[in-house]
Amino acid sequence: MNTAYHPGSLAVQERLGVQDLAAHVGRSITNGIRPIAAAFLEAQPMLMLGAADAEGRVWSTLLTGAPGFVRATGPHTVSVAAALPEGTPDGTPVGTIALDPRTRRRMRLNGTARTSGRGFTIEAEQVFSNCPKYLQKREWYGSEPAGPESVTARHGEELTPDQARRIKAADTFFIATAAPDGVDTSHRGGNPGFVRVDTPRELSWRDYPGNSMFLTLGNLEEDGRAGLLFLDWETGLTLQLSGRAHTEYGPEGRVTRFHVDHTIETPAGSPLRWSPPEYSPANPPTP
Amino acid sequence: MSAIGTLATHHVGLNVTDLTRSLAFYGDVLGFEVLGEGAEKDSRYAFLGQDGRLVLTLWQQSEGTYDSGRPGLHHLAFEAESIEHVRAAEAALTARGASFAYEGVVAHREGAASGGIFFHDPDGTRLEISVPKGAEAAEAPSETAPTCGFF
Repeated sequence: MNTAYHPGSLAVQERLGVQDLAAHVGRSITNGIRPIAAAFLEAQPMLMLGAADAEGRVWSTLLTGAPGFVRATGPHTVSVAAALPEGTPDGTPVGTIALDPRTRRRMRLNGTARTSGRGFTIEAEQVFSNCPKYLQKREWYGSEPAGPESVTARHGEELTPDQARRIKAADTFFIATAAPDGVDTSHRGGNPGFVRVDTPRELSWRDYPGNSMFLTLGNLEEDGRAGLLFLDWETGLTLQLSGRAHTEYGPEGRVTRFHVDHTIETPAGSPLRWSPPEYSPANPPTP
Repeated sequence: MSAIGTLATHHVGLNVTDLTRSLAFYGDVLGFEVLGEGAEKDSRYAFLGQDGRLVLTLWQQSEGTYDSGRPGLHHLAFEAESIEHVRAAEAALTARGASFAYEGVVAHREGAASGGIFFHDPDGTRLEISVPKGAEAAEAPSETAPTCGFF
């Protein structure tokens, strides 16, 4: 019995008949941060963090810093030189993904976050890497530190026309989902148009074949809360959406539908500037 | 060139736990013919090959499962005649329910022409069937290692 998976993920794996494959890839999930993973983390200028706030809403948040701001400080511990997102309780479960568009590598580290002198630490419970499927390649042009006046966040409860346009043009987003005993943050990528805006409060996307773990879909099966993060890679604008999602399993494949409850748009959410993308050869064509 | 001269890989011997099961895998699924079988005390062995040429010897003298963390074999790679032959092997292995390290045909590196399939025998021993060119359209599971993630 592989304990890497929650009952929700196991149920999805069983429904799709991929238990053996999932058990195989599940063996790659450990609580140890290997040297190769530690070196990768230290080279990253960004980390995507998923967590529930004090109200129980799930958010996916972009954290940035000079490479080295995320650092393994022990075999199971990571130190992050950034504040936990506002409203995130101390000692809360978090799911993080470190994704490097330069090399199309990504790794995930899930555990418990606690505030520290430097920012916060994460005690790792699950550490693993995924393949480059659907990752767009981008070069890092550097950073443009924002003035304090431009980080003002704009809150809402549905998408503005401009936000809807951004989402329809997106090739990447991150999705945080909650489980009874943890949080997971995953990546979704595709050619522009892979995310549909059905109404100002409803998004949907086709679930492309991945690693067969079904951590995100499993969490949605059990809980349903989700937080999405869209980035403007060239200007640094971030768009965070919090709400609920469910997956429909049809003969044509799987479609996940997300209902928007809250939005936060931050014009200068990220100081990082990236090149236009080189799309992943794995991206299916979009209508 | 040293006094020893050129050395080429001849055949590879693998430890197995159940020779009957392994013969079904290497013989029926991958198409090797049995050139000879034998037994010594409490171990059995078989010689497998193609067109009478010895490729593989299997020795039933082990217990447990393959351990990638122990010294010895990292993986055994076979070169196929074409990418179509690799896909035929993939279909046969999928039909038998073999375990794959990565979904389908993958390139050895991002943009590389060489690539193939990575899978496991019944004891978990890591195997590869690849071609030097023809995998251009396949994606690379990672830039350095033919596995799904980079560690």
